[in-house]
Amino acid sequence: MRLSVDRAEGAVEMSFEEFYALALRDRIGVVLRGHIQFYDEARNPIPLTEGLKRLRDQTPAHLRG
Amino acid sequence: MEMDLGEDLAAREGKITARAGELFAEQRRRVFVRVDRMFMGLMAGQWIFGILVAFFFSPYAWEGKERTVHPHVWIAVLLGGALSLFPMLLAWKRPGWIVTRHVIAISQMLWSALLIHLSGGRIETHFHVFGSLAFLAFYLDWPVLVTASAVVVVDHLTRGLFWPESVYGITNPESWRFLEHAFWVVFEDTFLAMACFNGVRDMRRSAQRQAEVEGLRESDELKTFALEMALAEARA
Repeated sequence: MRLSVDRAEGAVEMSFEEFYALALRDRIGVVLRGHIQFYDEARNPIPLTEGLKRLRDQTPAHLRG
Repeated sequence: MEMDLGEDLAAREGKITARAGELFAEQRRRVFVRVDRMFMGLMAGQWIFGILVAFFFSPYAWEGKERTVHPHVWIAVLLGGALSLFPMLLAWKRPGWIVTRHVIAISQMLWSALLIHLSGGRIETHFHVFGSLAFLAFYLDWPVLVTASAVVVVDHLTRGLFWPESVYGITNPESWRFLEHAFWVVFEDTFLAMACFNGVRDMRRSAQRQAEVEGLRESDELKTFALEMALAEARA
């Protein structure tokens, strides 16, 4: 599963690992602005609720509170 | 790096509008499909009813002592079958298609014409026209009413000219009689079209509200997730 993040220069695709590698400020900005979309392996869009659930489930161990 | 707030709001607004458009189209399609299915049943019922009317009014024809099945019975079976089966096939195979509902409108009004003919032009059978227009208004699509009304007017005009007993039950109606019937059809259409416009407007508003609610829910989910990330990082 992949996600895409809207940037000023256009949509940027990345894996969950790459998303969590962004600075917290960047991640929060992207999420709060709704600049995030999720796709399955066949590049079909996935509903936001489902995407966020999977993203939450794959939070790296060092970022779990 | 990210877009500014103004662009964000415009983008969110655009997303909600696009979603409202999707929901509206989906809801309209559901209505078209549901009404197509309703007419499928009605067409079958009318066919049976038409045959019964033909049997009841004119079951046999006589030529001296020879008794044969009256042509009306064959008309009800064959023409009635043709009028019912084609729209039923379309409603079954292509529900929701624009052509399907216009074919149904044409067939439904031709059914009115057939029943009027089978009943010998009884004025009471003309009520079938008005009932049919009301059923067709369930589509909430006014052009369907225009198609149906055009069929009624052309049918009354041509049969009034060439076979008046078939439509009015008398041999010498006034030449403008079809205009009187057309007037009452337009009268009903006016109110049915208003009901269609109102129905579509309500459907559009409901789609807009649903899209806004979905947008708010998404926004809440995003805020919750952002907060969770911040808290988790603070704890880590």
